[in-house]
Amino acid sequence: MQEPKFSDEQLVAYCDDQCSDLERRQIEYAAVSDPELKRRIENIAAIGINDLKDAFHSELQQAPLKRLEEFLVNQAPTQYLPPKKTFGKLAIAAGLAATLFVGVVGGGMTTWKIQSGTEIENWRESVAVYQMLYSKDTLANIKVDKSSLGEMRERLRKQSGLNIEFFNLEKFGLTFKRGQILEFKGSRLVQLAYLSVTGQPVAICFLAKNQNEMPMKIEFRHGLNIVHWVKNGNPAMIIGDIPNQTLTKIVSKILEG
Amino acid sequence: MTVSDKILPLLPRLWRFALTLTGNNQDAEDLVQATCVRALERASQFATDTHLDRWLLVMMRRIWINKIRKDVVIKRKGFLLDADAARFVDGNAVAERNIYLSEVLNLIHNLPEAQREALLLVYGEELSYREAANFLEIPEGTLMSRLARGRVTLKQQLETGFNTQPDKSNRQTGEN
Repeated sequence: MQEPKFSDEQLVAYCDDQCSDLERRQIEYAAVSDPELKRRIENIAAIGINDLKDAFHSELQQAPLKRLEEFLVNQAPTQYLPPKKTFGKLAIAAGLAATLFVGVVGGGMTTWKIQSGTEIENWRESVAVYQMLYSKDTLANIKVDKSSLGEMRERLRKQSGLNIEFFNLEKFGLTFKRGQILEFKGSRLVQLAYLSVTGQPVAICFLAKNQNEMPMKIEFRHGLNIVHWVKNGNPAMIIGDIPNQTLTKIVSKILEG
Repeated sequence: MTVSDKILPLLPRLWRFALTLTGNNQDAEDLVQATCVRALERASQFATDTHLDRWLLVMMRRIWINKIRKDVVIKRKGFLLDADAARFVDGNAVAERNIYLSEVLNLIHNLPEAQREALLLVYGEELSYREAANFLEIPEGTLMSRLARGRVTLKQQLETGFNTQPDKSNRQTGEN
């Protein structure tokens, strides 16, 4: 069987007016005496460019714009928003994320909030939902300016009313990345974010709310290990995808301090 | 103007591309959200002399290919998702032209993924062949071949009649 003189690629370029004038003339000249070529062109051009453009254009109006805009606006003011680890978690988080109001304490104070679709009573559940959105990428690019750590700590203390320390956890393979003020049901919440040498995000959180003293306890939420306790009336927790044994050692060190 | 302010007007186009990739309203919405999150997170990496829309579309496609496509294909395998039905407009409620356009869209969404995205980039996003080929990281000839095959298939489906609620269980995601 004889090879067609013009390829489909050439013919689609002809139909889209993307070929050279010379090629256009050659195709048109050949099509006059070649019914098969004419048929092939008609097949490609049957749904014209304008129809395709209009079809795609009409699709823009079907976008669920209100929901998407709300989502974007609620994420927007921070460049450090935690990415979603998996698609499933992503969907969960979009609907579930607790009423956490977040302020990144750095050069300037930025606040943003995660809207709540579902009320979450337990602050540790809320933190766990938030934490599971973190990935290595969330923290990896954050450069810690050691000279500003003192100022950052003072801001956190002032805003939370808690005597916050930035724990040096290098011996546990954890590098301090940042401190944030969040808010849970009207109570200030401090989150200290660390990144492990294996790329696991870990957070230590303190809630500025009075509760009865409690020794450390172990929990597991959303695939993350948690050790939590109450000291000086303030609930605290450490959370991450690292062994409980390591977490309890870290908490012991914090409680000693 | 913040990055999110710049993304806002692009949301319909992001959603359309997401729908082209996923073929499903809910997955498309989730993909747009994932892209927005990633974009905000990486806003500092965005070079201001490049097109934000292209940057976002490339990012979305990478998220789709690297993280999501497999899950969606597994989820979809063997049965028709109810959510798919929501994408199709009610033929009685729209003018004849719109019915035709929605039929064309339905046919496009039934094409293999490689052809769907080629058609969207060239006829929806109105990229040149070269731009679209660069975007997809394929030779220009491959892009044109996908366009040609996609358009011929559309024509054949129009001629033979088609189901306005195509069976997504047969929807193809691979190269074609």
